[in-house]
Amino acid sequence: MIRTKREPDNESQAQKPEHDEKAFPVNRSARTSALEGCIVSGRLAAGRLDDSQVAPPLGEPDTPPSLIIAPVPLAETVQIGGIQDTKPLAEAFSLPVEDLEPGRWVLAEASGERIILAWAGPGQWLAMSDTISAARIIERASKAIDASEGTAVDLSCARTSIRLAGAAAPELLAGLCPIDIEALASGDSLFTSAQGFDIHLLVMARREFRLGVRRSLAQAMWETLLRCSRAFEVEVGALP
Amino acid sequence: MRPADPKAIGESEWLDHIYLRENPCGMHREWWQHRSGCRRWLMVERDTLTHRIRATAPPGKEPGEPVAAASDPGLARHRRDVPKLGAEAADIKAAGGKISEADSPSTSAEANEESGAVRRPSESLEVSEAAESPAPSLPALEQPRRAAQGGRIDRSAPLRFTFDGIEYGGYQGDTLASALLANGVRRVGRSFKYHRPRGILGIGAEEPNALVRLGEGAYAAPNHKATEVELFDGLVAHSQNRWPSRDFDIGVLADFASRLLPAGFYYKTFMWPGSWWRFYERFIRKAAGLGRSARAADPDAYDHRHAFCDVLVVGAGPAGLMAAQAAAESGARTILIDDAAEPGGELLATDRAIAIDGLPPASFTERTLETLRSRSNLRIIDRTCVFGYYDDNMLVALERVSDHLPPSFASKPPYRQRLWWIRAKEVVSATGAVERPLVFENNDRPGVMLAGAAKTLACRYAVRLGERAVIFTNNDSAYQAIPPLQASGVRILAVVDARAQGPGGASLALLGGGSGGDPESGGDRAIELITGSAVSRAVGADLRAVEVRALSEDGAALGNESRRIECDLLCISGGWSPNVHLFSQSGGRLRFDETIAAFVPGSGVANGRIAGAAGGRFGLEECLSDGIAAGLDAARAAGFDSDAAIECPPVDEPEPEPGPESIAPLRPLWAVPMPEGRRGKRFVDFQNDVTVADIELAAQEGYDSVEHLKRYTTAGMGTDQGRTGNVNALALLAKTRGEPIPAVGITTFRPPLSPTALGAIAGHRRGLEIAPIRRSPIHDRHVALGAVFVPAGLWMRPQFYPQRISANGFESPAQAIAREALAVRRKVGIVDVSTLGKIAVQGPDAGEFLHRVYINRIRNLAVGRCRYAFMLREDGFILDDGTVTRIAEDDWYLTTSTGHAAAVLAHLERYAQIVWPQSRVQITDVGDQWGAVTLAGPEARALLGKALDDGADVCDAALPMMACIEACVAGVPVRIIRMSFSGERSYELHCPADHAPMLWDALLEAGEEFGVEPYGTEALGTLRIEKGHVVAAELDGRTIPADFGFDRMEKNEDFIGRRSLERFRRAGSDGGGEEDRKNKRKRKRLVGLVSTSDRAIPRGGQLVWNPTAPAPVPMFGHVTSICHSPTLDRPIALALIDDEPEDRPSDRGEWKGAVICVASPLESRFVQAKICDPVFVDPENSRSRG
Repeated sequence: MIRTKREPDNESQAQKPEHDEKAFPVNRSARTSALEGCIVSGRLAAGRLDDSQVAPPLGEPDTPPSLIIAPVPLAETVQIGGIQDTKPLAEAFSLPVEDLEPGRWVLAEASGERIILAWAGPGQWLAMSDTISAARIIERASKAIDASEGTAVDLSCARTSIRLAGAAAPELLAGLCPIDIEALASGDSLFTSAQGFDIHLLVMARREFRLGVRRSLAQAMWETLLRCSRAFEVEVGALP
Repeated sequence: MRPADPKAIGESEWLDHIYLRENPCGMHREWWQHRSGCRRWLMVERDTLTHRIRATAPPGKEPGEPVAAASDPGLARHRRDVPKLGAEAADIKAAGGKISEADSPSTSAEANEESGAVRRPSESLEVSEAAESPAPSLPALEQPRRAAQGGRIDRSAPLRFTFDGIEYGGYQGDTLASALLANGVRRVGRSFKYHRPRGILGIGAEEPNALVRLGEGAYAAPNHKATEVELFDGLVAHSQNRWPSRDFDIGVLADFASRLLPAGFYYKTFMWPGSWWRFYERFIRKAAGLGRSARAADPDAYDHRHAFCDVLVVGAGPAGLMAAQAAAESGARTILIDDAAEPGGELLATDRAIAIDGLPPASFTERTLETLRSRSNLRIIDRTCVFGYYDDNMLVALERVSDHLPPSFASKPPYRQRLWWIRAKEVVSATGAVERPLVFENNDRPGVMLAGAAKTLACRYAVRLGERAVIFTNNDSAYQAIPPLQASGVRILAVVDARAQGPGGASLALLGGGSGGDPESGGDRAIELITGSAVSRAVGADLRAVEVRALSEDGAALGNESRRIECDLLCISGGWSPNVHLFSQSGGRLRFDETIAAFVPGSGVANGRIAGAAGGRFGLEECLSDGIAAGLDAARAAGFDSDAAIECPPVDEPEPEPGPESIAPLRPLWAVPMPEGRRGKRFVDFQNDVTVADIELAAQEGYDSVEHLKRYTTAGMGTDQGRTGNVNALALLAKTRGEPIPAVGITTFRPPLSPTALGAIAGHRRGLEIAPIRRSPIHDRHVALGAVFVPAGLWMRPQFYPQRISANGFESPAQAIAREALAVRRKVGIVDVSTLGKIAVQGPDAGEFLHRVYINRIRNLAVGRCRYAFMLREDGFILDDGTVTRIAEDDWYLTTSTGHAAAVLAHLERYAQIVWPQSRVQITDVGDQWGAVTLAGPEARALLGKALDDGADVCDAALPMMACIEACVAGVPVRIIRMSFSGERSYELHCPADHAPMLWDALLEAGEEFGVEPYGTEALGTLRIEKGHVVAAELDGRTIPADFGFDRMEKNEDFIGRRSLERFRRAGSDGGGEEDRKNKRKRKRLVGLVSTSDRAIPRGGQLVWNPTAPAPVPMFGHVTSICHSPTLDRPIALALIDDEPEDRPSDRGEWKGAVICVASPLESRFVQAKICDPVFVDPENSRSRG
């Protein structure tokens, strides 16, 4: 198993979580979101024509929004690659093996540790958590990774996620992505493109999506989403 | 596949491997990479002719071979059946083509639960539109040519509009064409070439004449067909191609001078003297043509939408409606698209005497639409024109979202138009047919109109098109226009039928009066029937009368006696041409059908079906049953087998007159001969002013293939794409060539088949948003520092940071760049290098893998050490330079140049996945995970030492050149790699991107006492040019390591590209043949240039001895990078120069020190420069080592 640190394998096997925390000593709250500075939360009225109106007017809404666009709070993300056999991985996250399906994501939740395990290509999984550190995720997956001679890479800063929810969310995505939005089901995890952006799409519920985009493109993606949702009554969420 | 041992392979075999690829017509195997997703390479079996993909497979597997799911679960194809449609999945329901709000109760509840109470106000647009229908605040303006009753216009909603500045009245439901005609406006514009007055000929997309400009200012849009423009209150329209006015147009002189302006005149006249062509051209262009575009940027917004369905039905006429109903009832997810505001097509213009399923046609249509709209698996998209049919049943359509709404409309949608990309499993084309005009002298006069268009205008829009009308036809369909025209108040004087035997019984019945079956006895009919004759001439600039003459049996001659009939309306019909454009675009072959004298779909394509008139079946009952059959068939092919029998609704038509047959066959009549002694024009293509004489001339001059004819005469071009004129034109060409029509063929149909605004194609991606913009994690800091940004690929990078030097001014770019560069040379600078490509390569075989990828020795690199390395393509040329750092035993960290990051990643993945699939290597793009800054300058170490937490040691022993340590700055974990690009002591600090702003702030703060200055890409470039470091400008895909002296890095083991380098290397030694020596001579090497004056060296300039020598001037190199060196205070450059130029004068000695010329022919300037070593600063590398 490979880690992004220099200690030889046998030592790292014995590492305790707090040791891992030391390797990642920065308080997560000190992280800067890629969307910092471009979000003004508030309401955007439907029917906007002018791009200068992208800065949302704040105020009391008269009508409920048809679309919510909001940043997903920063999560710890680990890409687990080279997994030949999903059984040890399922065990590592206390999941039934059949839950680890290509094209799907699943929530592993136990004793306060909440991890989304999303398929990210053949033999590749993204583990995302808002409760535990990347190091802790790697530790939990270590057996499964070793079993397949796989690897784990911390990608916590590499991806930015945006939440799209509401009755108009599928319609917005149908305008962005060349895929059959109506055929998606809750729990799907897929890669596609949206207006020239490569995205990782997680279907959270029938009208709720999480759109993962590389960090450097996050701001442009955000602006594109706002521009493409002109026809909707949009509520823009704030950074937590 | 790469040979296991490239060295063991002969030269020619290796070159074949590198350069030769199969290019078969048909099934072909190739490697694809899922770049926007999991980044896996896969083998794709694709038909190069149809682009159909037959099978795919991961590397190491045969396409089509089943993939064992247990061992490699991810490779199983991600596929899920579309959920069964019903209340649960009916997310998007069709309601008038708009997304309906009417979700089932359970759905709404679920939505509310998921995302808070949500609603889509945009959906209520349709509703509010109805509610807001313009209130009749103003009384209806008089419309002199509007019938007192009838039509599908809303007389309770009068509208006002202006045409050429004059206000007119119309009604909701009118088109601009129908409203103009209802006001008696018959001249709507001037023709393309001869500026002849033109009226409205057709009823829809086929209209060649009535082109108008809509809107004003930036919103002005030319070339709208008046027949397609829906009227709204306040519409502003202008006629085109006339000056000063529609009625008095100076350009009409061209009509009188037409003998000087035959087809293709601009290829052969106005050519003398030769240099004057440009002068003439201005006038020719001004005189000819269509409307003018707005000069300002398009202020409208355009939307894009993707849709998927099992069955797509194009066209909502009788066949399309039935096809959609049949497909939807079979359970298929169906989309029905229609280009009109109101679906129904011909049904809405069919005489009320006909009953379908016991209902008048219009009521039947309404009832059918109501049924369709209630279905959850069917979506109707109206006001939408399908303009392109691409591979794999992807069709592209343009929806006119708000073109029909007045600018003041309160809840107007934010988009003008919407582009639909529809991927359908099966397609039913029910696109109908277009009527052909008859070709005779002056057939273009206002008042001459297609009979079908006249029928629709009278029936649907209640327009009284004239007082006295004549109908001229060669088939039965024109007779259908009689009842609606009469109902609207037009007196029909006569029907001139080219057929000697006259029409069929059903048509005779429409003439009224006469009871017998004798077609010759026209006299006792209410409407005179003149058989075996033709209209030989239209009289009057606006139609006043027609001349009728007998037509000979073979159609080649006219009788001498002419009869004049005074009339102001002439309805013509030359038969119908099916709209085969989409079918043809989909790859279908056309066939000429002699019975209807038109091209019809012949050998079809997979997954495509034709229904109704588009297939040449024109009868109403035929169209309805055809639609049902096509809809059921399409649904079945898409996997929806329904045993539900769908009955064809019965059609009751008036009794035909007894006779041999109810419908008589058409008589082809391509052009009515010219009467003896006359020289008028007979128009074939109205929009491009192409006459019979033009076609004969083209054939006579040798342009006798149909494609040549099109280009020479422009027949079939323009906004109508020759819908009315094409078949006539090629039939006339066939006649001239003395061949049957199928032998002549038909021109290719290409998308878009209807004019489409470029803005609609661009959609949301325009201006700066044309491509996504990548921003560094420190972007905001650069903005705060006042940086000027420059695009670098998708990235926005700080170019330089101009400082305020006075109260009202900033540094010039040159000043800022020099200051920043000197700060690095003298103190310390900081630069954001987060844009570098960064790749993690991990796994037990990672070292071995990288060893094969790079030309350098990598395998033996110690943990914590770094190497500057080159990777080549297999053809031996440099792909990229970069650094390799060994983070841990099996963990490597690569950086690539910013511009090559994507290519390098794909290259590595290709070799890991395809060439060495057994290697245990994982390659991960960590470019966005890591932010990076470089500290460079004499004070860099001091700054770093101060910034590091816990006083970490950065002395040269702890952190020598090309070493990597991990430490923390302000609590941020960083990887510090010591290397130098600028020639100064330099440290690259990489940290998780979310912390990069903190790192930047901490370093600036710590650097304050050292005078740290941020520098941008320009200073970065200046520093590296001074140091002779190469970047993408030098590594241009045509250079090898030896060109830069980097061949010393090449190891004596296999690496990608080594076998190809053999060719260059052997040439250097004694061995090698003539070919090798030539290759050797072709190599270039890197040199420096110093301008001998203060003049800048031209960017990309060519190196020559004498720029004023007679052309071609021999060149022996080119400039790759330039800058003004602040250290030398001189313009300098890097250049690639021929190693051994053949024509080098022997007396000029060594390259070094030679003074040559750098020429820039495009700028017409040259500069003298001296050749020197490419390292301008510190050639001993003493500064970077401290």
